[in-house]
Amino acid sequence: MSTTNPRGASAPRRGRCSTRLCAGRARDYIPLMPRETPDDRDLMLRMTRGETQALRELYARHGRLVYGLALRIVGDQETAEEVSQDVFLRAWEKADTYRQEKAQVRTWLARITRNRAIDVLRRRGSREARARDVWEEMKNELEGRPDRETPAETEELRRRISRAILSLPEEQRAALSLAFFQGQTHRQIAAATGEPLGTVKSRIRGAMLKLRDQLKDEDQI
Amino acid sequence: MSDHEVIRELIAAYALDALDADESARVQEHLTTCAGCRMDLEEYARVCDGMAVSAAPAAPPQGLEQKILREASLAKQRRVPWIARAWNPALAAAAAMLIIVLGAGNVAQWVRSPQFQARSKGLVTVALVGTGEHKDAYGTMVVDTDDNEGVLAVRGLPRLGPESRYQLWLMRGTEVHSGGLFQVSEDGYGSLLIKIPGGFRGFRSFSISVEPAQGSPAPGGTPVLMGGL
Repeated sequence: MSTTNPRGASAPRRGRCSTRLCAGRARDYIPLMPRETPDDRDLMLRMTRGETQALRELYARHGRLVYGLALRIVGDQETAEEVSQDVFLRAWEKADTYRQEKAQVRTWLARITRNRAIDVLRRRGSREARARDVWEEMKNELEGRPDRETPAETEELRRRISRAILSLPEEQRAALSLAFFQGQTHRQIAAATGEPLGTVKSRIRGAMLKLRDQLKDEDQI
Repeated sequence: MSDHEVIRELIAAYALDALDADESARVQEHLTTCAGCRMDLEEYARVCDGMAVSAAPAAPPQGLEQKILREASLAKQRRVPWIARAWNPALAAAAAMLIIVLGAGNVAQWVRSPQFQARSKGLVTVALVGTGEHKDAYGTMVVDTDDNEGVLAVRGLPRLGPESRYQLWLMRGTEVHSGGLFQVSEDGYGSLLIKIPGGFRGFRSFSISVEPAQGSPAPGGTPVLMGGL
């Protein structure tokens, strides 16, 4: 018997996950309160017809994901708000370009958010790397209670991916964090950390290879 | 180590956008001819998507929702006058602007409308479809077969590095004519005003391929979009 999560998409099975990331770890699962709401893809379809109510629902469902990611990248609330606004307006204007076979709606939104936020960082010219590992910073939050305002399946996915990232060797994760959250190039990371360029390249590649392998069977991205 | 192996080691960083411009251009060029590396890129892009979803959620400021909805409503209102304006006989600039604003899919729909058909006797549209790994890309050309100008809009193509450009080709029997070079935006959107000195009459097949930035005298790359009358 299937249930629906608080925002309506099909809920993952409790107690066991089919992906390699979390097989058998019942503690990864979040109790779900059944509540019927439209599927993300339906919202996108309605947005192509100009229904602003669909945009409102999309924002309710994914606003925290978009804003949280933007905030991690740009580092200040005002800019994160601008980026988030831009992302949802873009989703509104370009809803017809969304291809469900390519990615989940939340993934599509997250990708737009990252691209927009990195563009902002680069336009600012703040290309000097601040050596910080964003995933390490989020570690404590992961130990806490799930974010109840985020759809349960998104929250579960986020936790599975975060655990995979946190399992990377520290130096690989730190280099990856600079590239992903600060839009730094290999060369800039090498300059910021004082590590040889070749070392930075192999750390990032090593991290990406491991994550590629670990996320291979993750069908919720 | 072969060039392929060197490039393959850069694909992960390319997906992260962590390469310098020259390395990025090399990878981009290699990707146009290497299916294996394109597959690697897809997998690494998926990893990047996963990392984006991994960020901790945060409560947006009060009022953001209302701002977004207000802007969306305004954008919706702005769309209508463009459609209502229908056809401006000066095809070139007006149509190009219209395509940019409406998007290729909407233009295709718009030119089939009775209002448009009534005012545009010589105009035809050509749908271009993506090939191979660009199967999700698409484009629309609007040309006046009685004239020498037309417009092209495409969506879903990857942005090229500085050394490459998309080139439009028009085929008439064994003749091949270049329709011009263009680039796409980061979200895969591009447009081109086409000028063919002898006019469009007789051209039946059209394709777009990736060529060097200065253009090619004849198609050299694999077609990424194709279409015909």
